[in-house]
Amino acid sequence: MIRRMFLAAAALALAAMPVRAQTTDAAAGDKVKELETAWGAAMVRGEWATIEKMLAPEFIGTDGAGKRYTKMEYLTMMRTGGMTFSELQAGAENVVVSGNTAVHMGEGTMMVKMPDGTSSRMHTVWTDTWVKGKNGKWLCVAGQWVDHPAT
Amino acid sequence: MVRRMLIAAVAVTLFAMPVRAQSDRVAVEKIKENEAQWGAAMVRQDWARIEQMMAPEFTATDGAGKRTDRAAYLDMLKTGGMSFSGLQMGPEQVIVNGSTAIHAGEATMTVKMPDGTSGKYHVVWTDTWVKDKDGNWLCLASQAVEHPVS
Repeated sequence: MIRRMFLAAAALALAAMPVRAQTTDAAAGDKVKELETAWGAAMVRGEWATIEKMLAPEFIGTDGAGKRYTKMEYLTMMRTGGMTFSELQAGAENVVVSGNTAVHMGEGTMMVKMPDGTSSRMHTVWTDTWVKGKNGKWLCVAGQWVDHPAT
Repeated sequence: MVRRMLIAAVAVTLFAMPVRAQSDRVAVEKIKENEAQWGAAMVRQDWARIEQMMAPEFTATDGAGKRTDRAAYLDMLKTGGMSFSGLQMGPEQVIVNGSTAIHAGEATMTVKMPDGTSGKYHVVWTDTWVKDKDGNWLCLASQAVEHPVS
């Protein structure tokens, strides 16, 4: 009887593993990738409202110079900074999911037009942390990025 | 009866709020303590202490955008020939959201390179910590940028 219980427990554990991987981690990873893709597309279109919805109220962003941005400051910079983005090419990405936390490590190359009219092609590497709320919605709580001119 | 239930619900909410706030405060202090220990361990070259604080899937990203996994990060610290001194922690901010904590910190330190040259650097980082089932906070990811201090 005990042995049968062990076998049953083992069978349950084996059956549960792929379910968790498929329905939790893999699905969460895909969702976060989808959100990151939407973020990039929104930047190109200048749809800051879309990005605003993805950011947690306590969002903190950090750029390659080490400057910190609150959610408000980040959105203000995007809305009024006079920069435009185009020709976005997403690069390698990896998502690590741990419970309700997902870390997206991504990179992309895009043309950035500055307020003075000059343009340059930049390669950006970032680490974004997403947290799933009780309503099942993923929000970005932090992001740090670094950009260098693309060769 | 309905009124009593409403009062009970309000009372539960009021009691629950300080408990959550207290739990967050404890988490904030724990993360700050871990980060301080991380810095001190770098100076002491106590790599085992840092290893204990890293999640198995830890990934670090440096100012050049280079990614390093847990094993490579520890190997770099252990065999890279760098040493750290004069660590001065700067402003720090911790955001706790359930079992996730973000540490946005900065510090200045002197880094001695394998060739004997030294430089003073200011480092700004964003670390992501997650709480495991045993209640331990483990660092899952870190992105940092460093600039020479003039």
